[in-house]
Amino acid sequence: MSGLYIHIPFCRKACNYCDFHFSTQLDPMDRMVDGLAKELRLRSSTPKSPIDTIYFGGGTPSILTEKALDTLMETITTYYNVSRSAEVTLEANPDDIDADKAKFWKRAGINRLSIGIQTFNDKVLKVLNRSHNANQALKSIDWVRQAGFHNISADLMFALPEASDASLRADLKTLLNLDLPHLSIYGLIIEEKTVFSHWKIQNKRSFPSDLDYERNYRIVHEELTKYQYEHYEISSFTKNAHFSRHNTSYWLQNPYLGIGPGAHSFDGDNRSHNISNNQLYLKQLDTGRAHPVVEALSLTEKMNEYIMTRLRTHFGLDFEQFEKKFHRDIKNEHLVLIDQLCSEGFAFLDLNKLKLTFEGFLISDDICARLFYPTS
Amino acid sequence: MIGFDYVFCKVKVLFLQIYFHSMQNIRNFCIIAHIDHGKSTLADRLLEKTSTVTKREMQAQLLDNMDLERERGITIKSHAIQMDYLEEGQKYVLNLIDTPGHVDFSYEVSRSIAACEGALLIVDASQGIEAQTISNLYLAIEHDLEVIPVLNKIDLPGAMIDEVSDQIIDLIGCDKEDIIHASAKEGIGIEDILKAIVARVPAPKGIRDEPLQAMIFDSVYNSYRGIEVYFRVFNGVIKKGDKVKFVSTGQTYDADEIGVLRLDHEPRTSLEAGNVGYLISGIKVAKEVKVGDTITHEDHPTTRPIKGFEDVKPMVFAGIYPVDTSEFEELRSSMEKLQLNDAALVWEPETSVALGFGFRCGFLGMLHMEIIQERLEREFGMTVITTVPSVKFHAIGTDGTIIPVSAPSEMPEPTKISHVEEPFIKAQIISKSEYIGNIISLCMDKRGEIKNQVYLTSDRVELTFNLPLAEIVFDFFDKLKTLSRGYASLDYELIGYRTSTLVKLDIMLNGDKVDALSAIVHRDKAYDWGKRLCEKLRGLIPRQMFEIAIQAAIGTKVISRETVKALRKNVIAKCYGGDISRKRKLLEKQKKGKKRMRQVGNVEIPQEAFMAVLKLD
Repeated sequence: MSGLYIHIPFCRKACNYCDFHFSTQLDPMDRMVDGLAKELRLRSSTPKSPIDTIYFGGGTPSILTEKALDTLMETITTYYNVSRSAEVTLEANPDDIDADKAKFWKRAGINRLSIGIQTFNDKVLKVLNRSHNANQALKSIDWVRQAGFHNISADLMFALPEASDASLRADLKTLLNLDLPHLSIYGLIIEEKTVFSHWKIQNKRSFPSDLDYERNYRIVHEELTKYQYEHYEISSFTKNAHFSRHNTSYWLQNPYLGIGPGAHSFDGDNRSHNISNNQLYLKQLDTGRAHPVVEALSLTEKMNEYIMTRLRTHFGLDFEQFEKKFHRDIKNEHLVLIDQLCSEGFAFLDLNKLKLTFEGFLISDDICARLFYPTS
Repeated sequence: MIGFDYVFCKVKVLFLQIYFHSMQNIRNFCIIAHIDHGKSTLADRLLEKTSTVTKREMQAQLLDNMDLERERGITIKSHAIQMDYLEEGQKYVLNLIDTPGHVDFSYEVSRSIAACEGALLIVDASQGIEAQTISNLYLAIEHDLEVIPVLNKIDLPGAMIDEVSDQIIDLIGCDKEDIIHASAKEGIGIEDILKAIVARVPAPKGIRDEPLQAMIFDSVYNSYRGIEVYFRVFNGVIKKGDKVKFVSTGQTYDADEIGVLRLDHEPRTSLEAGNVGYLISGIKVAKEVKVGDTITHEDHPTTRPIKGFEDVKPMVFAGIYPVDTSEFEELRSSMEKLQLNDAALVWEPETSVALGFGFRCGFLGMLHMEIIQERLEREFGMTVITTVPSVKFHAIGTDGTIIPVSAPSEMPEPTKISHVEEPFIKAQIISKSEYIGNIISLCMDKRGEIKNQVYLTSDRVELTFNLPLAEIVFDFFDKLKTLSRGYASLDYELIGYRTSTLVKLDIMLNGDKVDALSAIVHRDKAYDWGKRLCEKLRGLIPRQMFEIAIQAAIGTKVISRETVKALRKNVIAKCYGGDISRKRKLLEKQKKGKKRMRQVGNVEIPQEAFMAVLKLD
C-alpha cells in the first residue's frame, strides 16, 4: 500500500493563517501541470507497492482546469499501479465548486472531496481572507452530493479571531445537519510569516488564548462525539468508519510519494521533500530528474515518529509492534509515566496498545516529548 | 630566516642569563587595583613598552587568558610575566606577579604579595579607593612592600585628581609628588611607572649560597605537561634536574624543566635567589601543589619554610548533580579533571533522595561556585544542577561534641543537639556617604551588627559590620552593588562561630520532600523565606499534566503553599501535510527542553529552580 500526493501550488488569494506552499501567480499553471506530469513520470518507479490512495492537495487543487486534471490523472493511471479500490481525494474550495465542476471531478475519477469550509460565519471568513461565503459553502455541498459524491470531508477551524463559543456551536450545528462522513477540525495555529503572525507581533488584533483553544476544542469533541462521530485522530472525526485513508497512511508509517513543489515523501527509511518554489522546482526538473532533499531517519528518529504518529490516533502505540520494530521495551521504560497517564485519565491501555483520551490529545505534545528518545 | 631567528633567540637568552640576572637588577612587583580600575590595560602597556610583546601579539587583556575570566573581567587565577627594561644603560628584569581581584581569592592574593618587594597601587581617578583595594593594600604594607601609587584614567572627564590624591595620601602617607598620573588606555605615564619601579622598589635580598627556599604563589594545569608551578626564589638556587621537595606535602619531584615566564615559557638551567619562574615536573594533581608552600632541595632542605602558608578552606558548600542521572560517572570524571587545575575545589560523593547520585562540593565563595558550574557546562558539556548553597554550621551535640553541618540533610534531629553555631565574618564596606543609610539597612536586614564607621574623606565612608556568613553568600554582594549604584565595595574575613537560632526549612512538591531544596535559615526569617521561595518556585516550575502543590515546612508544620495549575493545552493540531519531520523536530526540541529538567516524583523541576533561593527578590 502506497500513497501518492500531488501538490497544486496555486491559490486565488492567500488566507491569512496559511503557511503551506502556494503562489497567487496563476499564469504559469500550464507549465506547472506539465512539470507535475513530468515528475510523476520521472518518479514512477519509486512506489514499491500499488497506489492505494491519491490525494490532490494544495494550494487549491480545485483551481485546476478540466484539461489539467485529466492530464495528471492520465499520467498517474498510465505510469502507476493504482489499485482498483484506491481512494482519490481532491481538496476543493467552495467558491470553485459548481454543478458542472462537481460532475467533471466525478467523471475524472475523483471519489472523495475535502471541502475547505473553515467556518460558516461570514465575518470570520473575511478575517481569514477566504474567498467564499457561508452560502457558497452550503451550496457546494449540495452540488457535489448531486454529482454523486458521498465520501465528503469538510475542514473546519476553531480558536479563530472574531469567533465566539456561540459561533463555533452554530458552525457545528450546521455541520451536523449536513451529516458528512468525515470532518477535519483544526485549532488555529499562528504560523510564522503569515498575516496573522504579523498582526500578532504588531498587536493589531487579539487572538484566542490557550484557554479559549482548550474550551473550543472541548466543545468540538463533545458535540461531535455526542452525534456518533468518532474522534479518531487529534483533528479528525468520522462517522461509520469513513477514515481518511490517505492521512491514515501517514499515521501508520506507510510509504507515500509527494509530487510537486514543497511536497513531502516517505519510503519507510527516508523522508524527502521538493523545493518550495515554483520556478526553481520547474528549473530543477529541466535537468531531467527530480531533486528532492533527502533526510535519512536515524533509528531514534524512527522510534520518535512512531510514538508521535501513533499517539495522534486511535490506532495507538502498539507496544508489541514497537518492540518488534525497534527492540525497545518502551512500556517498561516508562512504566511509571504510563501508569500515571492512565490513572489521571490522559490515556488508556487497549490490548497492549497505549491510546490517548481527549484529555490526552489536549496535551499530546507534552506526552510525546516525555516518551521520546533523546536525540543527540 | 628561521635559522637566524633561532640563533638570535638563543644568543639573546644566553646573554640575559649571563649578564643580567644579578639580584641588584631584579624588581618583583604586583598590581593592587579594584576591578575596572585598569589593571589589565596597564599590564598590557607595560608589556608593550618593554617590548615583551609586540602590538601584533597583544590580545586585549593579555594576562587574563581563560575565556571565562575575560568575560567576567576578573583575573581569577594569578599569573606572572617577566619583562626586560633598559634604564640609563642598565638592563633590569621586572617580574610582574598578577593578583586575583575578588574576595573569594584573598589568600592567593596574600601569597602573590608575599612574592614581591613592591606594589603598584592603581586607583581610578574617577572612582576613588574601594574596599578590596584597601584590604590588599594593607596586605602589601604588612609584607613591607614599597607601594607606588598610580592615579589611572586621568584623561576621563570625571577624574577627581585632587580628591582621589588626598585619599591616597591619607591611606599610605606619601607625598603628593609621589603619585604617578597615568592613563593606561592612552599610554600616558607608562614610562614614569617603569622608572619608579626601578628606582623605588627595592632589589630582592636573598643569599645565593643558602639552602633553596622558594615559595609557590600559583599553579596552572597543562594537559600535556602536568601542573606548572610558579614560584619565587627567596634563597638559594634551583637548577634543572634538581631533586626538590614541597615542604607541606613532603612530596619530592625532579625539576624536569625550570624557566622564566615571558610571552612563552623560556627554559633556563638555573634560577637564583630573587627571581621568579616556573617548574615542570610532571605533577598530575593540583592538590599536591599548594599555594604558599615552600620548595626546597631534598638533600639540603631549608630549615625555614616560608611563613604564612595556609591550607585553603572552602567557605560555601553545595551539591552538584547531573540533570541526567545516567551521567553521574561522566560528571565524576569531569570533576576529577577540574580538580587537577583547581586545588581549591573539594568534593565528595553525596546522595540526594530527589536528585540521586551527585557530589557535595566546597568552594571558596559564590563566584568560585559559579565558575565551577560554568566550567562544567562549557568545558565538559555537562548539564548540572547546583543545590542551595550552604555555609558550614556547627551543631553542638547534647554531649558537647561539634558536628559540622554543610548541608541541610546533615543537620541532626533537634532533640540530639543543644544548639547550633554559625560562622560570622567581619565585613568592610566602603561607599559614597550618600548610600550609608541603604547599606546599614541591608546589613541590619542580614542580621548584621555595625562595629565601626569611619569617614575616609568627606564623602567616602568605611563601614565595618559583623555578619553571619550565611547571609552574605547568597545575594548580598549583588544587592550591595544595586543599592549603592555600584559604588560600594566589600571585603571580609572570618571571625569565628556564634550561637544562632537556626531551623531547617523543607520544600515539598505534591507532598514529597525535595531534599535538594531544603535550607538552614534563621528562625526569624523562616516564614518570609518559605513564602518567597514558594512564590518563586511557582514561577519557575512550568505547568505540567498534573496540578503541583508547592509547600514550605518547618518540621511537620507547613508555613506556606502555592499551586502550579495543570497544563491546559499543548498540542499542535495539524501535521503539516505529510511533513512528519517538522512536527517530530518540534517535539524533539520540546524534549531537549525537558533535558534541563529533573523529574522528582511526578514533577519536572527545571534546573534554575534549584538555584531559586539565590534570587528571592
